[in-house]
Amino acid sequence: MIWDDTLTKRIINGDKLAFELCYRKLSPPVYSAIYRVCQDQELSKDILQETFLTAYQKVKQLKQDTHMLAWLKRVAFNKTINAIKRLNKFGDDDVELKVDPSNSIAQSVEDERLFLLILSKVTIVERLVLWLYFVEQYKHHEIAELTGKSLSYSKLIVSRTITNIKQLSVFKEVSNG
Amino acid sequence: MDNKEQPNLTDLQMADEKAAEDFLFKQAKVELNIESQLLPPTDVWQDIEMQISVLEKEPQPKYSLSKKRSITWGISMAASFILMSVGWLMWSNFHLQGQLQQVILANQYLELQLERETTPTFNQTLLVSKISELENKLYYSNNDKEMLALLMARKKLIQQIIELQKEENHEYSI
Repeated sequence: MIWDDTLTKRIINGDKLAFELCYRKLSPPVYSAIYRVCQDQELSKDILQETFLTAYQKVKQLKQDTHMLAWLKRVAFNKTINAIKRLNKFGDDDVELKVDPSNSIAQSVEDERLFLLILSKVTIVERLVLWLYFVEQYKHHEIAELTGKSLSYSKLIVSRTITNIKQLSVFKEVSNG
Repeated sequence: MDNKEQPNLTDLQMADEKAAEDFLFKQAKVELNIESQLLPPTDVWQDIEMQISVLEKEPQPKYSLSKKRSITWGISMAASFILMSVGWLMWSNFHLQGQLQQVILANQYLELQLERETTPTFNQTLLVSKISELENKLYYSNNDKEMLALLMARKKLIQQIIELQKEENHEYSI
């Protein structure tokens, strides 16, 4: 996906066509991130809609050198956190990650889908933390700032996931070469 | 062999963890590829477009949120300033009334002392005329502060008359 910086300028100046173009170009990565975390189509649709509406309203406050996709994703993650809070899932007790050593693991490692398999086994808050850390490559302090949780909260989730991965025979085979 | 050259259990565990973390980073990176991206349902843009047109039809607020906040802050500051001023005025008025009462009482007490003397001397008469001047001013005064000052001056003059009386009494006794 190629992003044209002049498009950001046009959006800031209130060009509706440029905003539509922005939606066409940037909605797939934003929607994918939201859907992978929420794993619910209706909720993801609502969050995507809220994200772009907020973006339309707040875009005038943006600086021209702002990375549009990163900003949109940031808005989307904030909306996701609000949605999780609305669903009262934020205070949920953590569910222990259990990846059963079946053939599906080997297959998912093969087609590089192990991360998605892990996401399907954890709670929505844990999914958000893992997505932010591994895919968006946020630092722990950034996750803490965004989620309003402590620094150790995301560290714990990440380290528990790593511990579980280490126990997988598939990983042992891969790491031994 | 030196112990430093041989990796200990913690080093091995850390290397193991790093490898697992890198492994997950590699697996997660796939999610950023265009092929892995999901297309949002087509009706989302239509809904966004509709809501944007609704938003644009809504009248824009006269003042921005920050301006509204500063106006509210200004009003509350002015209100608290007025409250404080009224409080201070009430307190100072109460204090002044108390002082006035005290000075009036002192004047009355001194007047009683004066009445005992029947034949005034020349100096005393001068002072009495000054007192009557002050009383005249007191009669026309509406200001509490001015009244207080006049009463204080009156008190001093009466005290001077009493002092003069005492001195004369001493002369007789000598």
